[in-house]
Amino acid sequence: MNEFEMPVQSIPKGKRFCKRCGEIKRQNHFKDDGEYCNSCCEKMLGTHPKWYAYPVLLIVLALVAVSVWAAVIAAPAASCVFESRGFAEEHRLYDAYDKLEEAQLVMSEKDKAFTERFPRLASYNWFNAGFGTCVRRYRLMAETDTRIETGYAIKKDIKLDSLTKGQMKYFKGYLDICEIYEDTSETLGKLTEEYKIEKPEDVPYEELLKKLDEIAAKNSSDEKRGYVEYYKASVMQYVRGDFEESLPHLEKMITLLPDEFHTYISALYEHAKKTGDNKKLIEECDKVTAKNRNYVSAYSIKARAMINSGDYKAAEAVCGELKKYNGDCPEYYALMIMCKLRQNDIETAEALSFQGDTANSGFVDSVFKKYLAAKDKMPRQSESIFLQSFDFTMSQAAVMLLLKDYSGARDLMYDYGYTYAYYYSYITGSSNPITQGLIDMTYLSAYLVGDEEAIETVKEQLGEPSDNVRKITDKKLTLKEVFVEGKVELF
Amino acid sequence: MTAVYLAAKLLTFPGAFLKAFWEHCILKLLRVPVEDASFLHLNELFGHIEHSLIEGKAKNMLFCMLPGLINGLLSVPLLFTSSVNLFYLGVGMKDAVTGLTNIMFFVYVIMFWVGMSLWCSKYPLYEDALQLKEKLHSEDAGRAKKALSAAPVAVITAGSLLERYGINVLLFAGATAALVYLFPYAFV
Repeated sequence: MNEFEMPVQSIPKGKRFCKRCGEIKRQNHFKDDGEYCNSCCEKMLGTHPKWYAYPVLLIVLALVAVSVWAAVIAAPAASCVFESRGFAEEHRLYDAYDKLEEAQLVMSEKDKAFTERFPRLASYNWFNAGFGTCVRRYRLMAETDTRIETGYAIKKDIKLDSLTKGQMKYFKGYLDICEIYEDTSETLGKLTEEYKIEKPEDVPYEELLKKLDEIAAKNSSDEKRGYVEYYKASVMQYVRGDFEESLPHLEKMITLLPDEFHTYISALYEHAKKTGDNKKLIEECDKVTAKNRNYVSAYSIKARAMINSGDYKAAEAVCGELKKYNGDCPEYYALMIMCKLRQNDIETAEALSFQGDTANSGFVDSVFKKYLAAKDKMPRQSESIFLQSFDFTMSQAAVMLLLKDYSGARDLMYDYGYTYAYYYSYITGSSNPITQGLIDMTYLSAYLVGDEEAIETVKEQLGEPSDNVRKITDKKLTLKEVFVEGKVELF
Repeated sequence: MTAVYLAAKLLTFPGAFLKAFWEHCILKLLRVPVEDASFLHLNELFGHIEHSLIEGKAKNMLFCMLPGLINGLLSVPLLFTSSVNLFYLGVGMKDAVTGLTNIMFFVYVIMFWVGMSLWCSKYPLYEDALQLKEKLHSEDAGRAKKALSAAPVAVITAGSLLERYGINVLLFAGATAALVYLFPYAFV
């Protein structure tokens, strides 16, 4: 404020000088110790904020409104990411992954709804769950599956040419390993063509193993040497028809390619079935479940190995741990039923069968609709749930057969088992690994009812039953010897 | 130091503008004459309103606290939403899945800057803070009032001192750098 300077001449008695208006006025125009006269004070009280503050105020208020709106939109995604962190800390990696996928899906739907409402804005992205969510999701995928799968998923899902250098470095490792895999596959593919192999007898495996060693020696990359060991294991498995001679190669492979634990554990399980030696299998399963408590297959394999070796209490403890981290899942009931059957406790197995039905909805249509709906959003979980549900159905069928409810078992396998197999192949495009078990149980229950039409349908549409089923139908084995004593494995 | 103060205020001008606006509004409510409504002075008065002496402890307290409180409250949703999206979720310039430019990234950056500006313009002029301290801790002030007001007055005085030398902006920049370090997916 511009102020007037005090006048040079002295101010008359009874009057005062106002600095604001520069006038000399009588004392009664001033408040007691006020520097300014009353009229100037009134003018000062009547001033308004400067005009340039108002646009700033409006912009800030509008921005605050936008921030509240954006917070409401982003809140579900942010809470999913937060929950995912909690799951990851508990080593429930599939649950963590599903939450991140849900976050991305939620924001993608909101973006789609927004651009449908305002089509002119469709050439921009408005809502997404963030690059951070993306990276966390692929990191979890690499930990729960393999780095190659992650690399292929990134190639499929991400617009790599739109990424900055800083962003690319988070994905480079996975893309590089895909390249290594493709390069190795090409080299090994050429080798296979060279030998024109049509049946196991055609394989000159010693020569082939020597050539594979040469390929491995040329490459210093762990991954490449790991794939070569994997290939050697496949060759030995193909030649010998079992896992025993492939196991040493898989053991070398797992040190070079820790991602491929699925294959390694399956081979250890077959080895344990043959030799009764569970120790290494249990160790490896423990390593996997310590890292990812949602990996139901590892709990299942461990429990089955313990059941096969007669350690039912330990198997039930494994089932308890499975339930603790994965809830009332179908696999828990399937394994507990197997445990109880092998202890000849058919009554408890039957009770578990009913409990499992209740816990897993119990209605085919609603179950399938739920899982099919889940598939579009969470493909991994739906595949796992289908396999688990199939295991549970098989265990239920075994209980029914032991209780001589052959028609019930036949209906169960036809209604549930057949449909599970159909939906499983629909989701994954593959008919393994459940088809032989489906054939065997459906054939067996149809045979015991005497349903010739069902028997023929199974043979025509699915295939021939295994030798183990023929032993039962030829009266060389009883149902009790199979499901209670465990002399052979049907599923 | 005036240059440092001016630089800090110009960097956070939305906050400075609004702070002065709220100060003017509060002065009008408290019936305190405003000597100069302009706040674009190229000195330590930038972003503050020149006013007559404020009489009374309550008026001084309200004048020193309310404008900053309003700025602080407005900054909360801005900083929260922008921080969650930019740092926690790592929203970038382009969407990695579609490759399209993400408009909200720019909105969040602006939101973060405006939120920072509002947060860094919360305290009164240092002289006003000292005036408040003098009023509340004068001889005629009761012990209870002195005890209750000690903490808020200390905060206001310290805050206005930090603002005077632009240190609050440096502190905020440091906090932002810490966020970038803790959330490495942001701004890659």
